[in-house]
Order: sequence, then structure tokens, then C-alpha cells
Amino acid sequence: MAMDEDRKYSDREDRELLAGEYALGTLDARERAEAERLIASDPAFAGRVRYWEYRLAALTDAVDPVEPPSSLWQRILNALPPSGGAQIIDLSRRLKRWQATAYVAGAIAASLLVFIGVREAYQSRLPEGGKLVAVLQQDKVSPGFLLTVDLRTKEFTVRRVGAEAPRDRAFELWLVHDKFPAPRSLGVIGDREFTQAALSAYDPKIINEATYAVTVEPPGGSPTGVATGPIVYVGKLIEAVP
Amino acid sequence: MTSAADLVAHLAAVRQGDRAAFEQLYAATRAKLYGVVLRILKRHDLADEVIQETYLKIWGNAGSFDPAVASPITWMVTIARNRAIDLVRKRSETSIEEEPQAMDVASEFPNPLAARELGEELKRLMDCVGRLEADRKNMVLLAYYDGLSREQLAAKFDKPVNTIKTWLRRSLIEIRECLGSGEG
Repeated sequence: MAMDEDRKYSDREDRELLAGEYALGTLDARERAEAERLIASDPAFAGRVRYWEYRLAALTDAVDPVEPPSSLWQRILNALPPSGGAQIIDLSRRLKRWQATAYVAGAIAASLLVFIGVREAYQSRLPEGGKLVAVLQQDKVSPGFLLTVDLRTKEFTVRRVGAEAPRDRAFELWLVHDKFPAPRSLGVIGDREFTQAALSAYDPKIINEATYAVTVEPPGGSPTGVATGPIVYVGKLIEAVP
Repeated sequence: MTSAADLVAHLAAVRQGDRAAFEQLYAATRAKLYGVVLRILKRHDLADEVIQETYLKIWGNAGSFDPAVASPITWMVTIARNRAIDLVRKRSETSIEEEPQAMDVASEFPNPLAARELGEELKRLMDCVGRLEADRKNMVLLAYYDGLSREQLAAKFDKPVNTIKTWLRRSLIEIRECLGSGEG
């Protein structure tokens, strides 16, 4: 028992020092790659890396600035992705980027892929008054919330599954649909296990087609009505029972 | 002098795809970032490459910057430094110092206590780093400023790599204890 405790502690301390050495920069290429995998998969570890990185970064105050060659700015500009004409609402942009990343990384849930198939089949007709469900997730192994919508009453329930908001931050749910210029807030969720509200302002077609995204916001939700924080979970609705 | 608040505003605009704000952000931060990565990479061509990648990443990831967690310059310099370290580690088979293009960078690392402005955070950190035994303090600063790996530190201090690893880790623990709770 005591040995288990010791071991657990030392494993944790080992991780902590891996985070510290990653930030200091002394790991070799293989260990850095391992640390980067952990940063991507383990938020607690990523937090410790940030702790060390941000503390140590004060040291750079003592480094003499050096002007880069003036040609470098043009090189950077040339390498920027082409701009997409009119400014798109920020959350929609991030959502697209998120989706692109998820597809490229192959990290989109197998369930989602299945769902896309199922969805194609149902696209032509609207579910009539049934229950719809969406898993709002980060990647295939990290579901954050379960969203259930009753199309008849337009009531929805969000159940917190794996999500935990950072300290002094709140989760806010957004409805994203091409028909709206900006994502619509559906309110703060996740401060308790179940959050219930209604989508009375939206017609069933919109509810069915929309993407639901969760962002991290100040306590009480975004003060401006526009999403300010990063998207942490996202998903679309499918019929709970066909 | 661009304030941290200006940089936060620039980053918020960059997030919306504002290239003019991106240029202002670049103008305000390029020399600092370039100085940090050049010191690690010792070659202008490599520093150019890393700084280009860094600003592209800043452009693409401005939305993930959280002003509640870090200042803009801290966030940006961390991206730049990580890229530089990644590059030197991947090139570690060919030692950069032995390459003909390697430039001669002052062999002494920057003296943090002689920084033009000794910010609160640097002061606090240096209070803690300064409590380390002389060799360990030098080791930490060499690792941070010049990007030396454990192996390079072992050669420099004429100690086995495992000893270096132990020293580095003990130094980190001491720094963390000195800084306080360790909560991020």
C-alpha cells in the first residue's frame, strides 16, 4: 500500500519534471516528442508545461533584441494562407478550422463518421417530433457533454459527461448555423450535471442542421454575446431512436 | 513602446484575419523573438526559418491565446523558443557549433540581473535561480538561453549525463519550491 502511494507520487513527480525539462529545453528529440504527445492528450500535463514555460519565459527579458532581416516580413506574408474575402464570424472560422484539423488528424470520432452516413440517409426528411442527441466532444476519446433535444417541445438537456471547466471559467453552448451571421448563445452549461433550457426561438430545421459548440468563457458566460474563448467541444445532432 | 494591452488588441484583431494588426504585432515583437531564437540556433538562416514558422503559427493560433493565462509576449516567445529547441534537437546529430556557417555568439549567457528592465517576474525568478549552487545555476541558464541538451551540458561540465539530469531536476524542484505553490 505504502509502496503504491510512493510509486504514484514518484510517477506524478516524474511527469512534473518531464514538463519542467520540456520547458527548460533539455530533453532529447525522442523525449520531446513523447512530451508533445502528452501535451496533446493530457490537459493536466499540458497545464504543467505551461506553468514552467510561462515562469521561465521571464528569463528572455535579459536577451538582447536582434532585428531580423527586413526581407523576412515579405516571406511571412507570402506564406500566409489566402484570405477568404469577407470576414467570417470568428466562431464559425474556428469551428471550420477545428473540423478541418479533426478530419486531417483522423481524430474525428468513429461514431461521428457512422453518424455522417446515417445522416446522409435522413437528410431528405426532417425527424418529426422525435428526440435528437449529440455527443459534444473534443476528440474520439473525450466526450464533454451529451446534448438531447426534444423536437416537439424544443426543450433541450445538456448532461455534463467528461467536461471540467478551468478554474474561474464557465462553459457556454452555442448554436452555429449558416443562416445566422453569428453563433447564437444557448447559455452557460455544465455548472451542474444537467442543464435544461429551450430552443423556442428556432425552427426544427435549424435545430436539426445546426452545429453545437462549447467554448470556455468568463464566469456567467461571454459578456458581449460573442464567443471569446476557444472551442473545446463540438457536435451535431442525430436521432436518438430512428 | 507597445504595451501588453496593445499586443492583446493586436492578437484579437489577428484572430479575425486582420493583416494590418498582424504587421503591427510583428513590428512590436520581431526583434525580441529573433534575439531569443538566434541565441539558440546561432545561425541566421535557421533563425529566419524558425521566426517565419513562429509567426505563421501565431497567425493560425491567435484564437487560442488566453490573456488570462499569459501575456502576449510570453505566449509568443514560448512558441518561438519551442520551435528553435525542436530544430536544434532534430539536428543534434550534426552539432551546430561545428558547422562552418555557425556564427560566433558571445560565450557568456545574458546576465538576467543586468536586464535593462528587471520586471517583477524576472526578479522573482532570479531570486530563486540565484539560490541554486553556482554550477547548477549556470546549467539552468545555459540550457534556457543557449538551448543546450543534457548531453551538451554533460560535456561542458564534464559530468555523466545522468548526473546532469539529476541536477537539472533538483534545480527545477528548488525553483518551484522557491516560487511558491507551483499552481499554474
